[in-house]
Amino acid sequence: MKYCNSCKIKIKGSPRVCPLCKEPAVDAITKFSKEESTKAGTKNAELSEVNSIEADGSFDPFPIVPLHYKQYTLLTVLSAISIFVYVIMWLIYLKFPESGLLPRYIFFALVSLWLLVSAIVRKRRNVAKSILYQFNILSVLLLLLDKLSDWSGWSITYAIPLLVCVALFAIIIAIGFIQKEFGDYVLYLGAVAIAGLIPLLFIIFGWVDVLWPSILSIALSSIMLILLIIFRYRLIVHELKKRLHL
Amino acid sequence: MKSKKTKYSKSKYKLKKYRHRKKKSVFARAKRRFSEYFSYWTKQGYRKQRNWIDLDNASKLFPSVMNATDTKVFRFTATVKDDIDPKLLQMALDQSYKHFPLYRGVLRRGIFWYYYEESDLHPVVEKETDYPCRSLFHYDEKQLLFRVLYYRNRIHLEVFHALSDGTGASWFLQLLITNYVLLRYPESRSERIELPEEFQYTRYESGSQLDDSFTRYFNKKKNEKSINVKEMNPDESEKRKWKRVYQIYGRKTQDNRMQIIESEMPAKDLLKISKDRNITLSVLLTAIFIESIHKTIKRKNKERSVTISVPINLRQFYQSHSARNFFATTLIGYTFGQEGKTDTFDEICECVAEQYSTATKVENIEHKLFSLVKLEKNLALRIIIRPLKNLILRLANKINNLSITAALSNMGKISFPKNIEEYVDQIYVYITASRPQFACITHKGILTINFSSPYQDTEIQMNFLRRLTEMGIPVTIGANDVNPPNTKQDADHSDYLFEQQLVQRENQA
Repeated sequence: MKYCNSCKIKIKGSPRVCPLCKEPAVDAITKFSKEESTKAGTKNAELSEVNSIEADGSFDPFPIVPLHYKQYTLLTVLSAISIFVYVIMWLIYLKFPESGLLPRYIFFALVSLWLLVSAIVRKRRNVAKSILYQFNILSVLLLLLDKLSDWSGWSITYAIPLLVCVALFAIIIAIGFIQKEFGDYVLYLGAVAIAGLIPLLFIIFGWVDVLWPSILSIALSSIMLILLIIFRYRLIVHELKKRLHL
Repeated sequence: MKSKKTKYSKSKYKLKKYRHRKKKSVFARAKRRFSEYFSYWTKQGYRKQRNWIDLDNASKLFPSVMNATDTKVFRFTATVKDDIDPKLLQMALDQSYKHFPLYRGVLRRGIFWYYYEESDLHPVVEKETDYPCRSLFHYDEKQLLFRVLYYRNRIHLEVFHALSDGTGASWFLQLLITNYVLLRYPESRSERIELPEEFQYTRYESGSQLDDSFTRYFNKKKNEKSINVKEMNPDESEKRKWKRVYQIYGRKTQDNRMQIIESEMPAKDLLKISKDRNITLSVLLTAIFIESIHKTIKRKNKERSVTISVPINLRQFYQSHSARNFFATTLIGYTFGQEGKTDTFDEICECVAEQYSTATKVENIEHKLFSLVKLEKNLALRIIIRPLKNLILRLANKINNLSITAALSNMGKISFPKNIEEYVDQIYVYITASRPQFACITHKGILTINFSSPYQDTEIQMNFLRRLTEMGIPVTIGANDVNPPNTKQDADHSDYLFEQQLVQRENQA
């Protein structure tokens, strides 16, 4: 127990300064003995009270917790590396323009890397959600890449339909081994399966010449959807009601 | 001794693992994994349809506006006679947890709103090693919205405000502490437990506990009668015009921890002072708070308002045993530098007392709540998706905060069954805050006033407590260290500086 002379307040524990006014706090006992030697008669009553509190043994009411800052070191290092790589590539391009290392490709590569990694980190707690995000980001990126490198349609012909199949299998395998409640995953699985029906549009509008990837994706997705609806209908309705309630 | 023990247990573990490996072939293990995998798709247990409930009116705000500093977590601390026995505390927690289905809930995100979902999680008591009121909610994790900690002779109950308000949480605390004391001190069991009047068992009934009292009492369609009553009474408390509401700024703590200053004093002395002035304790504390904030304003030449946000427990007006949020807030303040006023303490007291008497009238509270619930039920607001809604709520909260200087909440009295009471000492309560704030509670005649602040500065707290000691009230305080030395060198260096400072002082004297 300490005592602050300026605030006239007893302080629990053994802080060196008064937490209120930051003046040095005195030991309740030393204060008592000092004042006794000066012998101020009127103050005796107050002092004996201070002393009696000391006797019951007080301690710091809170544990001392070292400062902890959020660690953004990795993030800053990675951004520095990204900028560094980009600048180097830009310089290489200036020196050897015929090498074909267009800066926009480098920029695109860095941005997509950042997007994918940040999605993985942020959604790491729910694997199905994470896969859904990866699938979406990758599809958009592949479309863009196709567009950037003189549209030839490989993204919608092969990449996106096959990506759907991979995503579906990935979710089914992952959640079976993680063994958490299916309710947390069912809607994301459903969302991927519905996304797998999108290649139907590609076929209808005649955007694709090679049909088998689209048909594979549509077939797998519709089987998945039908299975889900037959075997997990009640769970899906329950989850939808829960998440969509107004 | 200790290291030996861990070594031994480690080697034992390895050996066991090794044995296990030797026995089963790779094929057998693969078979086991696959049978586990397929069982996932067949077992009923993984298809559980979890019960869920909607958040109530007041709770809807909290998950949206929480941030790293203001985690919207509040803490009850109870001190008992001896150091805590964690095993017994765990047993007490297990027993109490059964009676509070609300506390089984985890907060989850939907497309439009957050909701509580029932969980099978099991709370575990932990030793307090971190700073108070750390965040309790992560959007992608299922975690309970409360935690129980212990440190020396203290038991802490930390609760996320979206789950419950102070009154609701105090019921859980009462049950937890009662169970703990009964386990820890067998002699307290000898007599028959006499429950105090406000300690009815009905509060622990699951049905009444989960009640959304806001919708029950303030949904317009259901309660048209009371609306009519309201319209007959013209609004008495016309919105007071505040003049340039003072905002408190300061140096934030280094790692966003709360600065906590707890203080305790005999309630009797304070009550005597407030009786002499013919005001209530809440009025007295509010007035002192306003005055101590005003002392920190540097430029006092212009008209300046200091406003305090005060929560009102609605259970005193409406029959409710809900353990969820059921409170409203009101704004109480004083404008300094008005013409014809000298801003003495008596004037502040008078002004505050008058506002308390109008603000705590049922019809004035009712008016506000009906409009709040109406807003919540507004279809246009409801169909906005949650991320956008979060932004809107955050913005609205910021705008609303511009009219608030600080906040306080008076929890009133808390009591325990008669034979438990003698083992329980002070109770403390505090709330994380985006601005300096205090909460107070009385137990066994000791009033504890607990300040929490995101800033390092303690001038307001100092003014407040010095004012109390000037009135002749003996005050004891305790505080957490917001600037602990990080390394031993730092500690030694600050020791050295401190000694130098002391020597200087002595020389001066």
